[in-house]
Amino acid sequence: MTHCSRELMHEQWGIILDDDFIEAWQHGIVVLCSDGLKRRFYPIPMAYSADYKEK
Amino acid sequence: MVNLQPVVEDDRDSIDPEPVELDDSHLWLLERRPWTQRTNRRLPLRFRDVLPQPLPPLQSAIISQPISSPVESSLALSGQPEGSESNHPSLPSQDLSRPSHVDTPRNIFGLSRRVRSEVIPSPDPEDHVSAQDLSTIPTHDHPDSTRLFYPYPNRNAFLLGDWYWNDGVQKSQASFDRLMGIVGSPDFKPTDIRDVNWHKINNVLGSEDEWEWMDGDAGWTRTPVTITVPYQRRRGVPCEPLAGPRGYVIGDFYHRSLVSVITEKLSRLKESDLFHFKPSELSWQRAPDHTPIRVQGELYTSPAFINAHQALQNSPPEPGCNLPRFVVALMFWSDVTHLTTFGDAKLWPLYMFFGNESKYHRCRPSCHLCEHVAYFQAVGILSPIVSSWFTNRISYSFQILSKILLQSRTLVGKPLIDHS
Repeated sequence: MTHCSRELMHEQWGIILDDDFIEAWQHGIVVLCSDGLKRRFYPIPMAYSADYKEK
Repeated sequence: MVNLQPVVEDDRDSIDPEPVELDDSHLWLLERRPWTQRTNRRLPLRFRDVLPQPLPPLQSAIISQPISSPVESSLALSGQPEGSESNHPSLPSQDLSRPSHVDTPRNIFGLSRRVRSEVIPSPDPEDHVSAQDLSTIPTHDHPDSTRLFYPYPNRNAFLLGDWYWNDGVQKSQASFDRLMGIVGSPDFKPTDIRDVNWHKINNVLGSEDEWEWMDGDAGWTRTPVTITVPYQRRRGVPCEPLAGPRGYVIGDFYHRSLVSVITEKLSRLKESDLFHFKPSELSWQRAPDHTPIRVQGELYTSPAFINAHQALQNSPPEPGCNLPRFVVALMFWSDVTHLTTFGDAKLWPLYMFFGNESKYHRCRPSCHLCEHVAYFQAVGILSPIVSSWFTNRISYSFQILSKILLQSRTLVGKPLIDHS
């Protein structure tokens, strides 16, 4: 079960952190903000506070 | 919600001198001079409550020359190792050409901000901080009542709808009294319900049970998850040469695209949303001549954010792009969530917050700053049939493995455990 939980969690995080996100993380995404200005944003995961089902 | 307690310097100033101090210590407490007769009373300083105050705005700031020792000393005081800057490949250039910085004056709590910038940054999110953002004291302002009672347009329509649906199918005297209580209330206004489209509201109510977030427009996607599991076809049969880990489809994994969530959030930002694009250093000084001490509280004032921002500014820009670049700090949070008081229905949601926003706003559900990103599948919260399938499969695998080990053990001695 530990093996399955770990595999499942890694598999799901692999889906969440998809290619689009990796591209945005490395090269940023250009967003037209509501004030009419374009900015380039770099999303960076800075905190991960989560419980994990070990068993 | 006070950021920092004010400095309690001395209580002596709060004890007012009394002109004539009569010795009444021989009397009972109740017989002594009543405290109500004392004049000019003030609470001791430690009991006085100070209303929260926003951080000083940058408009009142002073642009200083390149940063010198105070920042380094404050960085050292904040617990950052002395040599940490040299660990970052992009940072040493700052030591040679440190940019100018903007310092704000201290507020009543001794807090001041410092932004590394040549000019006063605009817009400054702290300009829009009001007392309501800092305090949890409820106000008398009524929130937007049209959203509060959705799909009903106002409170009176909601009360009537509630009476219609939830007060039983048969009319009774008590039910009639409740209806009279609604329409007889001083708050009841006939104009509230005059133009209400009851059919439409009832249709909306009836359709609320649909899985709203499962359609494609809501941004949720379903992806089947496959994991590899040690697999054995039949119990008691030794491993076949081709037997090995097999893929098993766990089920559908519901998630949203991170990029689309971030893009949607950023494109809808308003100035009043208090979203910090640029980091700032928050410092505390007991007095003007004291050494400033870094205050750690928000992600956008943390060394991690400042370093990331500086590293991004120092990095070469994207080819053919000279747009301003900013860090969007993502903060993930996840834990198992029980859905019912009884039973074991659970979900394992993944939430995402933006560290560019103040923690005091993120922690308020009414601010809607939390994004649902995914609902994890977990082996333990699958159906019992699937779980038992896993358990059986894995126990088979262990039995086969232990048999092989024990068989090899019989070559040298007796088996220790009989697993047959």
